Amino acid sequence: MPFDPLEEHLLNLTRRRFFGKVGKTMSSALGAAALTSMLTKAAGASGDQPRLILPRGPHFAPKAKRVIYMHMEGAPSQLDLYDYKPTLRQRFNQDLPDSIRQGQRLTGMTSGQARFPVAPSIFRFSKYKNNEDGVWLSELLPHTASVAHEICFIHSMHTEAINHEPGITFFQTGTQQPGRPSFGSWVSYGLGSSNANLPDFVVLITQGIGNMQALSARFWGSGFLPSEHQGCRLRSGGEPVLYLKDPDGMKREDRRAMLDLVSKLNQTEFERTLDPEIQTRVAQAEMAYRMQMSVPELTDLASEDPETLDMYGPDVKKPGSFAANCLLARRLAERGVRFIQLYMRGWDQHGNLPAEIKAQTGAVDQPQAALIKDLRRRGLLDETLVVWAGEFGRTVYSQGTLTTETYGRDHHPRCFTIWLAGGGVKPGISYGKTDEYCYNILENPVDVHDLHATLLHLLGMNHEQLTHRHQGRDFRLTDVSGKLLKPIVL
Amino acid sequence: MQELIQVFGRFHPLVLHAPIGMLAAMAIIEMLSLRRSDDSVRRAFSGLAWLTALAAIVAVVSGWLLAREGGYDQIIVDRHFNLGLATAVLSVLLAVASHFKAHASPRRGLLVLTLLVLVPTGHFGASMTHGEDFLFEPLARKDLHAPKPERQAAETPPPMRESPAAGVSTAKLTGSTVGAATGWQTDGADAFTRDIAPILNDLCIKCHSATKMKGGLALHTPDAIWLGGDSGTALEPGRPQDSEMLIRMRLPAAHKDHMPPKGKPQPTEAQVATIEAWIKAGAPMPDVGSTIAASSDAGSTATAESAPREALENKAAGISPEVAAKPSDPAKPAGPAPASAEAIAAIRAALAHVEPVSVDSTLLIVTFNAIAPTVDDATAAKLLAPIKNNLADLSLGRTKITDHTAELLASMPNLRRLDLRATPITPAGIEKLAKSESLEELVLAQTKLGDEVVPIIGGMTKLSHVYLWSAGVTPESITKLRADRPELEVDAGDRLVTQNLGAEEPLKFSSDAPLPGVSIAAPASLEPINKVCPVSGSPINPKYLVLYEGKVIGFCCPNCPKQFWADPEACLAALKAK
Repeated sequence: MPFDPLEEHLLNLTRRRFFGKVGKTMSSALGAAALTSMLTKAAGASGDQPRLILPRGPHFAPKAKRVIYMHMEGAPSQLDLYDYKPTLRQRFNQDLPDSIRQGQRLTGMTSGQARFPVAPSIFRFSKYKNNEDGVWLSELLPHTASVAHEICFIHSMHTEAINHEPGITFFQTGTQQPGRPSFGSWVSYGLGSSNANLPDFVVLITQGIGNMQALSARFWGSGFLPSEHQGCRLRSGGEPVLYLKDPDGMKREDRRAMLDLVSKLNQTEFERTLDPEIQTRVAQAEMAYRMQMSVPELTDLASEDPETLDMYGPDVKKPGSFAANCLLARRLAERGVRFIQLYMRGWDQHGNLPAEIKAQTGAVDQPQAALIKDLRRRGLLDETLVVWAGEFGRTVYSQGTLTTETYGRDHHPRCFTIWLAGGGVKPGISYGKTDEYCYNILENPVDVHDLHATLLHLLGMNHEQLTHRHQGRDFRLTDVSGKLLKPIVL
Repeated sequence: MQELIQVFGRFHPLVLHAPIGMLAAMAIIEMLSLRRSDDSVRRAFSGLAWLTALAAIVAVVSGWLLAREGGYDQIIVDRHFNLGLATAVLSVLLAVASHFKAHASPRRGLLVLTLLVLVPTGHFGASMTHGEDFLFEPLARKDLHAPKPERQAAETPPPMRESPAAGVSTAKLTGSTVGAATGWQTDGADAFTRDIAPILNDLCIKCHSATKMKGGLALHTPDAIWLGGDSGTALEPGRPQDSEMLIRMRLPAAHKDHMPPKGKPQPTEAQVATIEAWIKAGAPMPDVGSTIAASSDAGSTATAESAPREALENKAAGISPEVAAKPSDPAKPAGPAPASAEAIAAIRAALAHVEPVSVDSTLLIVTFNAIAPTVDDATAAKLLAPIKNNLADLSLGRTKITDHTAELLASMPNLRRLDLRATPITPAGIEKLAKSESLEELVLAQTKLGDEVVPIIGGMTKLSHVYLWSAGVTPESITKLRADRPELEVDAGDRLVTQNLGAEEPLKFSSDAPLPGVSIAAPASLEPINKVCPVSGSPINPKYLVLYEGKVIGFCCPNCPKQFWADPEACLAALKAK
C-alpha cells in the first residue's frame, strides 16, 4: 500500500490520545509496554542506522528521474530572445492598436503612459534546424541555439500574476498566495530521495546584472509538507552550507557521539508528543552529518577536465556565477539529487533593456547550453528534465522612451516563452503561437497548472494523486486544474 | 495472580446485570409503597438497596479490570466507566437513604436519578459489545441492500496483467513503513496461515463465523471466505479496490459500514496493508491453491467439480477464461517474483537507492549515487545478486566495479538500462556483458574502453542506444559503428551542435506597416461617417474616433470602441440598419 500521509497522521493522533489517556487513568506500566511495541513500528528507525527518508515512488513508470529548474527571476523578454516577430520592424513606434490590447490590465508603471509605442527587438534572429521546420532564435543566444535540436520551446505560456512576488510564487508553488509547498518540495515528497547523502531539493542562486527583485527563501519552502522537503540552499561564496564544518578541535567521532545523544533525547520527546517535525529534525541532523563529507566532494571541481570547464565558459571558476551553478547542477544531477533549482536574478528590464539583456544573456547563454550538452554526452539528459522559465513575459510596447537604440519593457503575463529539454520532452519542437504583436495567444495556451501537471507526469506522478491533507482538505500542486500537454511529451 | 485478576475482570458482563435487575425491582417496590407503606416493604427495599450497591461496586471494579485489557474505543470506555462509577456511588447513597424512615423524598429522588444514569451507562456498555449501530441497524439496513454499481463491474472479466504478483512488491517497497514491517510474502504455502488467518481470527470471526454470521458473512474457513455474504463476494482476487472486505475496512471509522464496527478492536495499518497485499496477490489460501503460479497450468487437469475453484484461481492470476483454456505462451514471461524484503533492506542500509519502476511493478531501479566511489565488485555482488531478476535500470556510474561484475550484469534477465559511466570497465567486461539478452541502453561515457569495444557493441543486437563520449573511441570507429548499425543511436558527444539555417536580413526599422485591419490609403477626411454611435446609439463625440478599413467611425464614449473591435462587421451592419 502506498504511504498514506493522512492515515499516518490519524494514526499518530490516535496514539497521542491513547497515551494521553493511559497516563491519566491507567497504570503507567501498561502504557510503557504498549508504547515500546507501537513505537518500533511508528519510528521505523533503529539506533545507529541513519534514518532513510523512504521513497513513496512514482505512480507509473517515469520518463524523468530528476529536474533542473532554471528560474529567470525578473521575467526575461520573450520578444528579444525567442518569439520572432519580424513584421514589428515595420511598426516601429506605431501605437499598439486597441484591437490588440483589448483594454487588458497593465501595471502601475505604464498604465499612466500617454501612448504605447511598439518596440521591435533590435536583435537579429537566425533560423536553426530542429525536428520541425526550424526555430528562430535571437543573436543573444548563440550557444543555446547550438542545442536547439534538444529543446522544446513553449511560446504560449501565460500566467495570472502581473508582479514578481506573486508571479514567482505561482510558478514555484501553484498559487499566488505565499505559504504553499514549492514544486521541488512536492517532488521530494512524492518521490523521496535517491541519494541519502545529499538533500532531495537543492537551490543555487546567481546574482544578476540588471534590476533585481527580492528573492524570498519561501520560494523553496515546504509549506505544510514536512520540513525535510524544503529546499537546501548551497551558498556561492565561502562555505556552501553554513555551520556544516566542525569547529576546530572537534573530531568527527565527537560529533557522532553528540548527535547520538541528541537524537536519543529527541526520540524521547517524539515518543511523548508524536510530533513528526521531531523526526524531521533528527533526519536533518543526520543528513547534515553526512553532508559534512558529501558536500565538499560535490563542490570540489578538481576532477573536472579542462575541456568540460571551458565548455561552461570563462565564469565557471567564479563561485555563484551562472556557469559555476550550471556545472554544480550537472554534478548534483549526476549524484541523483531529485530537484535542482537554479535562480538567475536580474531580468527585470523596465528601461535600457537592450544593454541589460545583452549582459544577462552573456552570463547564461553559454553555461545553459553547456549544461545540456554535458548532460547529453554523459547519458543523463534523457532522464533529467531541464526547465527554463521566468515568471512572466515583457510587453511589446516600450516603457519610457523608445529609440532605435534602446527601450524598456513592462511586465506581460498574457504570453511568453519558456523551454524544456530532456526527461521525456519531445526535442526540437515549438508549441503554441502568439499574435503578430506577441501580445495575445493564438493557439495552444499553456497555464502554470498545465505546466506543473506535465512536469509531474514526466516524473511518473499523476498530479491529481499527489496530495497532502492539510486543514481538513487535500491539497495539490495543481490546485483544482492542470491538464497534461500530451503533444510535447515523448 | 495476574490471570486470576483478568478472569475476575471478564466477569463484568455477568455481574453488571445484577444491579440493573435489582434497581428495577426497587422501583417496583417503591411504587407499591406509594399505596401501602409498611415496615416490611421498607426493609425489603433497604436490603435490596445494599445488595445493589455491593453488586454495582463489584461491576465497576471488574469493568475497570476488563478495560485494562484494551481493545475498545477509549472514548466510549471512558464514558461508560464514569457513568458506571456514578451508578455505584448513587446506589450506595440510595442504600443509606433507605434507612431514613421519615424522609421518603431523598430516597425517591435518588432512585429516579440512579435509573436515569443507568440508561446511558448500559447504552455505552452495549455499544462496545454489540457495536455502536446495533440498536438502529435494522432501520439502516435498507440502504445496504440497494444495488451497488461496483458489483456490476465485477462481472466483467478482469483485465490482463503481466504480473499477477506485482502488487506484493509494491506493498513492500512503496509502503515500506507498513509493508516492510509485515514482511508479507506469497512464496510460502502457509503465508495465509501465518499472516492472514491470525488477523481474521483476532478481528473478524467473533461476528463472522458459523455461530454468528453477521450480514450472512462467515470468515472462518477459506470456503466461507469465497462464498461472501449478503452484499456479495467479500473479495475480488487481485483487485483490492473492488473487494468489499477491504473497502469496508478502509471506510472512515465513523461510517456505518466500517468494519470492524466502531468500538470493536480495530486492525493496525500494517494489518490492513497485509490484507490488501494478500488480496492483490490473488488472495491465495491453503486449500484453494497456495501459490499463484500453479494456477496458469490448471486448465488441462480441471475436473467438473473443481471448475469454480479453478475459475477463482484464474481470476486471482488475472487470466481471463479464454486465455486459461490455451496453453500458456512461453515467449511472454510474466514479471519476476518480487524481490525479498531483506535484499531491499540491505541495499538501503548501504545507502544505495532502490525504487520500483512504478507502483504496480516488481521491476526495480537501483542507483549507487550516494556511495558510488566506495562501491567495488564485492559490494555490488553482495547487494545485487539477490535482486538480479528484478533489476530493470541500474546505475553503477562512478563506482569501482570491474569486469568481474560484468558476468552478474549479463545474467540479469530484465536489465534494460545500464549506466557504467566513469568505471574502470574494459572491453573484456563488455564482451561478457554482450551476452545479455535484455540490454537496450548502455552508458559507457568516460571509460577507457578504446576502439576495441566497437565491434563488441556492434554485435549487441538488442541494444538501441549507446553512450560512448570520452570512452577512448576514435571518430572513425564511431562513424563505422553508425554505418554498421544505422538503427543504433550512438551518442559520442559529437552531434551536439544544431545547424544554423541562416540569419534574417539586416534590421531596418520603419513605421510604415499598415495597422491590422486598416487599408493603406489614408482616409480622405477625418469626418466620421456616422452621426450616432454604432454601439450605444447615442450621438457621437468627435473625441472618440476609430479608423477601420479607411473609414472614420465615431463613438459616444471611450468604452464603445472596445465592443466595436470585438466584431466590427456586425457593428457596421447595425450602423447601416440605423
